[in-house]
Amino acid sequence: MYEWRRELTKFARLIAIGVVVTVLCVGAVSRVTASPAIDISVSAAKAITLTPGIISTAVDTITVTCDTTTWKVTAADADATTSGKMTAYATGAAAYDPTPAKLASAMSVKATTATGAIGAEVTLPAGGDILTGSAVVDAQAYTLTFSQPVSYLDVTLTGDGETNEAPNTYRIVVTFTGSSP
Amino acid sequence: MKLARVIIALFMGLCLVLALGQPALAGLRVVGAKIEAEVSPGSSNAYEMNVGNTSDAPMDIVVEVRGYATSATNSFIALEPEKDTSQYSARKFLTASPSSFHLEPGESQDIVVTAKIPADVGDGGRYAIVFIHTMPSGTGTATITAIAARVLLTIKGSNLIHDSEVTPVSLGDIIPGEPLQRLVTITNNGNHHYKPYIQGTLRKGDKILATASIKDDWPIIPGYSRQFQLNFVGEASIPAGEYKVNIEVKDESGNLVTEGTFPVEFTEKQEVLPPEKAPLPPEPSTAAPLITALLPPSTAINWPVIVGAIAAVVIVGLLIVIFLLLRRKRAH
Repeated sequence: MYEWRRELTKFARLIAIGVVVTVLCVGAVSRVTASPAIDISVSAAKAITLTPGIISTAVDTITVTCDTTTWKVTAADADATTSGKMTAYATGAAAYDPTPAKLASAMSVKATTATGAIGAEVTLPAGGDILTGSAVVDAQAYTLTFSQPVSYLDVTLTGDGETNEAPNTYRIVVTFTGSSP
Repeated sequence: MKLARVIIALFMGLCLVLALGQPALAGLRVVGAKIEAEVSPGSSNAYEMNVGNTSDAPMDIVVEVRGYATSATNSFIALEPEKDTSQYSARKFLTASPSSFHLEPGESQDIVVTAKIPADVGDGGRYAIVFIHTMPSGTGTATITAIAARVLLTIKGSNLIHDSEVTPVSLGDIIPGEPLQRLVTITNNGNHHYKPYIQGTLRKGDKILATASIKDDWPIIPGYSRQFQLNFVGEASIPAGEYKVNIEVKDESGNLVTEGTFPVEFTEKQEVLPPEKAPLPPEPSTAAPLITALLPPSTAINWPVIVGAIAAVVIVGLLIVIFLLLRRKRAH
């Protein structure tokens, strides 16, 4: 009778450990995967070399992780100053030209996989969906292409960038937004 | 006894694998990136999200409550406050705290979204977006990474109206050599969101010549429109002539929201997609799946928790069986 009780106590202890470990693990797992969980990253933006007469491009990578089968990534330019067009900017003053010189054409953005285009090419500022997911993805990388038509009529910037009246580069901020329904 | 220890060791190993086997992440991560709930007038409700920096660089994060809009081609737009004029906006009811913070690589921060619902809020749904974003990085083409956590609040006990209008955009357009792919706009004139299931039929009299259907997981929110492309599928090309297109819009429960019939005229033969190239999506089920039916309507299915709970029950059961077997063995 005594041995039977001792065995029972040992097994009860094991079961208790199992339950505690289960609860802790389930808690930990649910903590990091409370649905929907979405993660997006864009590689460090590269400078785009603007060449008159051609459509200049820059290539980056966007990486998406999402635990739901449906998700989207949109691209847009939310800044009313630029409104989808690269605008004269002084890097030293960290400000746009107060009477901004803008490139004549708006920038467009698209995302592709190694096998080809999967998202629409969208034109800023409104932009739109560049990626539409129909499966769970785990650190799935896509190539981002920024396309900027440049005209011979676009102004060449000659400032030193120290004040915002002397812009030395063209700039735009593209917002990539992920969401899941 | 040894067997029991082995099972426990295996179980703990499984837990370790589950804990370490999370997806590789490399950027701005938001867990719990949607709030969909029923709320009572006059109530205060708190929701938690977790924002993480999964990159290898520090991040400054800003959390803003914005309006929730859609456009013809965008299923969500995070509206600046000054542009958010919808009567169904929840933006003014919501606060997010903290509203800005700094994260080193690997760090995360809980944010609490509080919804204080006025007593006289009215009927239907209220909508907003918690817009969580990084600061611009890079020169030339700088980028902001953002997550739009949509907020869909249904006022408890209120009169929910699913009503819409369907407008043809290009039903009669002819594109020689192209299959019949046409755009329609659905406008939500009700007071509550729904996920649309759109069915189109091309008819000559009572005869159905081609069909099209779309099921979309992104809801149409009240006061806004979205555009959908109907890809018509049929057995044979459509001769020139006059036809009618009937369009039905149902919600996710299969209830008819609206329908419309529109005359179209083809001045030349019109191609349609062959059936094998355009499989029809399934009808939305009117019966909720078992597990979903066991949960409150606003609760997302958390599969890790369900699987973990089932595993726990199985393991406890195994231990009990082992105990009983050993006990019987010793008794003999």
